[in-house]
Amino acid sequence: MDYLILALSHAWGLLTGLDPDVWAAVGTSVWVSGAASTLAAAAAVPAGVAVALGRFPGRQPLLLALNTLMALPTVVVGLLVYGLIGRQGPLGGLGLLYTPAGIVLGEFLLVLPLMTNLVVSAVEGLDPRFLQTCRALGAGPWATGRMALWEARLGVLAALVAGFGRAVGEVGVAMMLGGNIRGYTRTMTTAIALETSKGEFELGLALGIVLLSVALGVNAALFALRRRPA
Amino acid sequence: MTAYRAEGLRIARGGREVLRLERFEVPAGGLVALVGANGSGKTSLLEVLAFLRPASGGRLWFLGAEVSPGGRPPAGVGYLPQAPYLFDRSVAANVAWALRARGVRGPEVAPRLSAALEQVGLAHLADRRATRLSGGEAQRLALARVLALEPRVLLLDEPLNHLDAESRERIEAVVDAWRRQRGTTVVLATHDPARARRLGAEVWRAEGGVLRPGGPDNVFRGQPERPGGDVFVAGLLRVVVEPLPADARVIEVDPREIVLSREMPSTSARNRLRGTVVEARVADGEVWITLDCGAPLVAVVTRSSWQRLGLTVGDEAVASFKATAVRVLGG
Repeated sequence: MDYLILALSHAWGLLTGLDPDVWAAVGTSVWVSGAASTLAAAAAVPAGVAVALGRFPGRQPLLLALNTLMALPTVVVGLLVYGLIGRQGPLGGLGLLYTPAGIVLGEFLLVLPLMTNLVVSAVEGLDPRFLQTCRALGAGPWATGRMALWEARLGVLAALVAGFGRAVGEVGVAMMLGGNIRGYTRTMTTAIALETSKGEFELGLALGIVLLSVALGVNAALFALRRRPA
Repeated sequence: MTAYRAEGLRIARGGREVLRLERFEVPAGGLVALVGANGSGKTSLLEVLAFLRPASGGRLWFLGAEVSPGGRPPAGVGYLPQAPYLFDRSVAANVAWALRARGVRGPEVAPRLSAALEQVGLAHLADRRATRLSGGEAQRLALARVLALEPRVLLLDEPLNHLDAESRERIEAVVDAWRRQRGTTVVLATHDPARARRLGAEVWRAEGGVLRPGGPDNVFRGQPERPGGDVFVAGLLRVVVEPLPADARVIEVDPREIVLSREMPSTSARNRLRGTVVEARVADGEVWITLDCGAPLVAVVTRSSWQRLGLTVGDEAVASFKATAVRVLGG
């Protein structure tokens, strides 16, 4: 118990002492997963609304695939993208391996099915009278989709937050595609894994605290938005 | 010119046929009331007329053109469901969105928006969030949203149910004004046939899975035998009514208030009419029996009491009902 308390106080010291390695990892984590989830949102939100409202052949298999891909292990994504952007891979020439952009690509693919699925659920969860009303008023798919997005906005925001949470908290992709290069592709999670295995438990703990705080902050913002009197 | 014409139209809900319309016509500019119990298919029929769901069979014409199933609803139909859905935006935005969704743009939006809100008495609440309106205000906003699109046909599903007096009067007045001034066709589902008839509606009855023209059963036209008395005379029929206003001209006897028996019963019911069974029809687990008592009198009994009575067509029976069970519908 004493050991844990001591470690916690050391971790606190590292954080308040603005240890550059700690904050570099924090910065990389936040911008890389922020970029990945922003790109994923740009694709997932329109795609999710379209899948939720549209009726087209192959819709059921698509939903099944999205559901399955939600549970995709991060290392499998890492592996596949590695095969793609590795030196021998078809996109090897772009030099994305072991760069932040490589992680962004991997996390984008990781988060995309999750976000799309949650957006689909949010829009499908709307009152069934919503669609009937749009139809009765003669609204086309474009107007209907935009209004659906507005009506389901809280669920859609939750989808974005969940996507960001998955991106910022995963290790597999960041490790395999980023390579955990200090000051460059080292993220909070890869740093925690490395430092802990090196016996630097305090440093790992410090980063763990920041990781939790980031998740807490984002979720608290969402929570406040939900509770905001309409 | 007809607003709607249907031939052999079949309406299903959840894969089960609920209503059949052999011939149904709504004249342009007309007022048609659909009367029937809950679950009789009135709402499903309105949804078909609003092109929100396909019919399961038969043919339907709208403004002279045959409707093919599955198409986008043509402009000109305004549908007001019983529990309308409002978008979680301002009152004005709800109407403006509907206008834009139908392709109304630019300077045309504002005047049509304010005219629509003005009519239903919601102009002062234009900036209010729609989800914060009372039930009556919400219904009026839904009507304004429909009227802003200047429909040629208004389909109203129980529009006056559970509303405050102000909203009821507003809605009735607005619909009436549209009918008179613009010749808007109105089809309205209601379970208040008396009110519909007072408005001058042509009544269609959904009952036993079939839509038939004509008002509900047991409506008799006549007059009190003498002023101050309690006997209403309608042709050969003499009915004791309590209370009976001197100017009563139409009365209605609820078929469910009538008790049938083979012999003259010793009940306190003051109306005991002897007649001959001329028709018995099973619908929705109940039996509709028509008794000729000088005029056709319809009674509804459960299947089990029908079996207990053991009546068949041609038998003699007695229909009894209380004097207070008779409704006076006015002149």
